[in-house]
Amino acid sequence: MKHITIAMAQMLVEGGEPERNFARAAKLIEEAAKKQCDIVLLPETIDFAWTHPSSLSDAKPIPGEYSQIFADMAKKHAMYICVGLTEKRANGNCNSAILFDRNGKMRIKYSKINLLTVEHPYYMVGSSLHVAETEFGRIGVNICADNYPESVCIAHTLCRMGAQIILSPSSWTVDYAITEADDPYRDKWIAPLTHIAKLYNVLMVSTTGVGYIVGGPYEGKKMVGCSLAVGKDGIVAQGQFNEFAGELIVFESPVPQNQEKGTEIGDRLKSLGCIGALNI
Amino acid sequence: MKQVVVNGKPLPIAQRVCTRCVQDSSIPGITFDEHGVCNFCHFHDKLEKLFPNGDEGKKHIACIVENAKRRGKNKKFDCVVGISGGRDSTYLLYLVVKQWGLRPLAVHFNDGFDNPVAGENMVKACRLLGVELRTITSDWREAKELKIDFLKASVPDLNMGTDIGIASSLYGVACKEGIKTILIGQSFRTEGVKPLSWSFFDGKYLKSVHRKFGKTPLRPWKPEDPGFNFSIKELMYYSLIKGIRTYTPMYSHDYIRKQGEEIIIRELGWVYPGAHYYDDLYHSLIKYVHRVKFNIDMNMNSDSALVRSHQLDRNIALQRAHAVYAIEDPKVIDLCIKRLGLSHEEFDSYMLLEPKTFRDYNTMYNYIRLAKPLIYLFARLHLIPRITYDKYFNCGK
Repeated sequence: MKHITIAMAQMLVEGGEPERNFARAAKLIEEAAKKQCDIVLLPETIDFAWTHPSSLSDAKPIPGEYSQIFADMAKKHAMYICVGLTEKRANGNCNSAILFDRNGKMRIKYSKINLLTVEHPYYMVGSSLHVAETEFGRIGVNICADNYPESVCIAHTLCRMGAQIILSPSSWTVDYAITEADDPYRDKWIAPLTHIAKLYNVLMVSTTGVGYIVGGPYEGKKMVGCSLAVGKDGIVAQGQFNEFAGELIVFESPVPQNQEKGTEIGDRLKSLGCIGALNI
Repeated sequence: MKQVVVNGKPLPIAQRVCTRCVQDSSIPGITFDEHGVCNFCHFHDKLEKLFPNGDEGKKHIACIVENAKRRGKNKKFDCVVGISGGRDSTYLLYLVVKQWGLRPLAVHFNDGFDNPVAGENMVKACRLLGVELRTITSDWREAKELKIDFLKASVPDLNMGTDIGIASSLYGVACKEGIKTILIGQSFRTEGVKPLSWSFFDGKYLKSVHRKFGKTPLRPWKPEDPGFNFSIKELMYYSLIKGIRTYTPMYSHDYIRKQGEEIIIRELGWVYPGAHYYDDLYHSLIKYVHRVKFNIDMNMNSDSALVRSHQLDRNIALQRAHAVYAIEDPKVIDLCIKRLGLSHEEFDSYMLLEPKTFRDYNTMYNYIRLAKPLIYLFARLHLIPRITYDKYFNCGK
């Protein structure tokens, strides 16, 4: 069975500060390379931070200046890098995630579909899902709220496309008043990630940022880490609660193997009591 | 003669410099004796007698520790320790755990301008010392507005919101967790004593400035979630009703800053944030505004303290006085302006406003003056921090 070493680069993302954010990302990527990781997963929109107003005017195209930084780092360290960036397009911006392989080649560019209402002024809805064939198996990418319980159809589809690992750059937020004494998300993320991981025997990996939201519609909220990797048997790795310092969470996992394809999946879901897509 | 440009006008920096420290006549309320020694130096000597270090200081710290242990018996924590990720508070946390054997709860107040380096310092220190960290985050909408309010108020107290937030969060957490002792890392031997008009601290002042310049009301005070509400009334509640005491043990500790720094670098992997006060990025902007608009050099206070304590060569301190400090990084100043959602034009317009002080606003100052004997008594009984009395009545104008 193949094994994979993944680094969740849970990093401080400062609103409107791409250079500072990229410098922090570079340090964590370098650390991941030293630890001989195969993949490093960074959070969502690490350039400007999620829904920061400056992203409206300053976003870059993909491929472009910002995405090239990560392509170069992937090549330099011969390591897969998955990162969330704001993507400038001709008719607006997208909340995108890209996966680079060890040669710095862009293997996936995905744009978030399940956008929160407050995101609508900032990003356009994505229009496609992708998986990439890699030396470890098939990798799929989605973003943060794509994994909301009412939106798990996105992960279902990635699994039906053969994804064995789903990487999900995220910006999980909580109210400013939440402290280390609280359980920040309760079941908000564990429940849907576990549901998909168990149902399809897939490794779900979600790295969130940390830091204060300093602009845009979510002012008064913050990101507190607790990034999560979940397999069919439960939580594989988890980041710490933190709102001002990054950490690299490294874990090794067997790459889940699942031979089911197409209608075989539907048959199994039916046998589990999930009759058709309407009930899952 | 060295000159400084204040509000676009070149001015001589100082007419007179203390012959012992490096404080000069730019400091409000400074006076000099017949030997040219300033009143802040005399006040330092008074504090030295009140708070000796050496063997006497050790005895005093032992009392604080014993008291904290007694009051923390059968509880999860003995004390709250306020931390910022800077040198002094990190070293205090180290002493509290490693030398004094206390079980602290580390409390940090985050107002959205934490230096990431300091943030990592806090996390590392707490992890290596096995200390639980509690971060109290301000509501950014309030924190941001307060920072803009004080820019508009044209006073030097640009971090009043943060200062109030730090104090209220320490007491709020202590109240919530039933902790009776708060320890803070201030020391007159390394920090010095700031004149009152550079360091006036009063929740009523904050409210009056916010009422005049702010747009949205601040959330109300709750004992365990005080927000930006912290004045005499709240202090009395925490100290008299809840029995919470605040101590400054570094007043009595043989604290050589350089040695403390070496210890926390070695033991806790502490990283220098880049400058004094730079655990908070907003100090980059504050330093700039102070120098250019108010002709204030806060570092002169701390450098003077280090000179008095024989921890810094006076000639070096003299060279540094009124100089552009490393912390004034234009990129970080831009970050601060941008983070507040201000344009450069707006910021520049605040810079051109006529400089004012807390005396131009509605504060508790007159009541505080009337209550001087009571405040002295409370400070001596540790019902309020000792520095409170000194701040109001022993610190120049």
